[in-house]
Order: sequence, then C-alpha cells, then structure tokens
Amino acid sequence: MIPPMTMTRRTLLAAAAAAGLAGCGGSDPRPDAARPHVAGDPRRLGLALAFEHTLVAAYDVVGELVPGRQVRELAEQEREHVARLSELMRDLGEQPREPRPRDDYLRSFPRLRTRAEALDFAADLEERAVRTYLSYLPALTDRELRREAVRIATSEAQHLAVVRDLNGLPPAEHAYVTGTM
Amino acid sequence: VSDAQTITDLLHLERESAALWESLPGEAAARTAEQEAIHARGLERALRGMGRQAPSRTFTSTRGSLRDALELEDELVRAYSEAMRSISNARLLAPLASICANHGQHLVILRGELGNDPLTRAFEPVE
Repeated sequence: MIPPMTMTRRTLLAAAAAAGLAGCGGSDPRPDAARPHVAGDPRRLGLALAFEHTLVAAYDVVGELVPGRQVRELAEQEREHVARLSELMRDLGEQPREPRPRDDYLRSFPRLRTRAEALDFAADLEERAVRTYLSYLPALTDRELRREAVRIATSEAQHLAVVRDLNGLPPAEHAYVTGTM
Repeated sequence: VSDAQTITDLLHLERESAALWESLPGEAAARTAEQEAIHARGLERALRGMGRQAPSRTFTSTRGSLRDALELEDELVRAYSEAMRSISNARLLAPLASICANHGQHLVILRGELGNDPLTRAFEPVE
C-alpha cells in the first residue's frame, strides 16, 4: 500500500525523479571499459529506453484522472519511442530490456488524486525526459544517434507543451526547454 | 560545413522567424517572438565565442500568417536536428537541442491554432 503524500510541487518533482530512477535500475546494460566508445552508446540508449517504459506506465495512471484522446495519444507516442529505441539497440547488437512489472512502476509513483496533480506529475516526467536526452547528446559517438535522440527529445518537449496546455498553463514556457546557451 | 557556418545558418532562420512572429497579433505570438530573439542572441554569443562576427540583420520586418510560421518552425526543427550530425563542438549540442525542443513546442501551438491535432508525430521532424 502506498502511503498518501501531500502533493506539492516539491514532492511531485521528487516523485518524478524517483519514478525515473526506478525505471533505470535492475538489468541496465553496463558500460564496457575495454570498449568505452562502442559500449557507451547502447548503454545510454538502454537508459533512455528504461525511462520510456516509465513514461508508458505513468500515462496509464495519468489517463485514469485525465481521460481523453490527448493523453491516449501521449501514451501511444511513448510506445513508439520504446519501439524505436529497441530497434536502435538491436541494430547495435544489444538486446533491449522489457518493461518491469506494472506494480514496480506504481510503487514509485506518487498517489495522484486530482487531474491537476496528474498533469503536474506528467509535466515533471516529460521535463526530466527532455533533460535525459539532452544530457546524453555530448557523449553519443554516433552522429545519427544524436539526431535520433533530438527527434525524440523534441517529441517529449511537445508532450510537455500539451500537458501544460491541458493544465491551463502556457505550452512553451522557456526559450530553452532545459539549460541555457 | 564548419560549426560557425551551421550557427550562422541557424541564426538567419531565427531572425526570420522572430520577425514573422512579431508581425502576428496576440500575446502568445509576442512571447514566441521573444523566445526566437533569445535563441538568436544565444547563437550570436556562440559565434562570438568562436571569434566570429555575427552577420548583420537582414530581416527587420515581414508579414506572415500562422501557416507561414508553421512552415518556418518546421524548417527550424529540421535545421537543428540536422545540425546534430554536423556540429563538432560537443558543448554546443545540448543547447542547440534545447532550442530545437522549444521550436517543437511552437509547432504544437501553431497546429492547435490552425485547428489541427497538436501531436501528429512521435518523432520531430518526421523522416
């Protein structure tokens, strides 16, 4: 049983971070010290894939409080990201990880009681997803993979815009979705 | 293509987009024009950091429609995502990608304003 939490911006951020980390544990691919440049790219893809699995699970929960076509579309696009990342990993000779049992994800999510809490949680996860992809970019050695990462990061930023709009907020808050130049 | 040339090409697009958004009515358009201007200033700083002079402004005023803005935002997302292939300085990648993500959000706003589904693709830009 998940203990009830008081939903503040701070607790939602912490919960989003915990949810993201929860998706990244377990059987993550390990870097190969002898082949750092070869092993680094699939490792980062594997971590991104784990996060995408978390997003799919999160939208199942969010959708219970925010019914409608748009949240279903968000969930479907996250599944497309899972499929694409899995395909890229197979191209690199790696076996993509499967999602964890649903309860594993649910245990790491905060108890969401209202539509606004659900949308805040989704926004925090999407923002974290964008940060994750952007943080991997400088270390990706394959330039095609960099482009793929940006295509997905841009999609996640669009999800963030849609979620903010559903929550009555301006869709595009900052000129730099994360970071500065 | 050198990093400086890639940044210069992006700067021209940002300036064109800022001018176009400035010509559009409404608070959201004004906010978006300001975001494009912030992108342009960031690119100018990046050029100065490379010891290059930013080119003079060529887009001082323009008139456009939401559909023109949609086309230009799509072009911007494509240009930034292509830059990921060519940029050599790894420190530029995340900030450029962050701008690309913001342009993706502008596409969401424009699609909504034009009565279209804001989420048409799971990957932006589409191949």
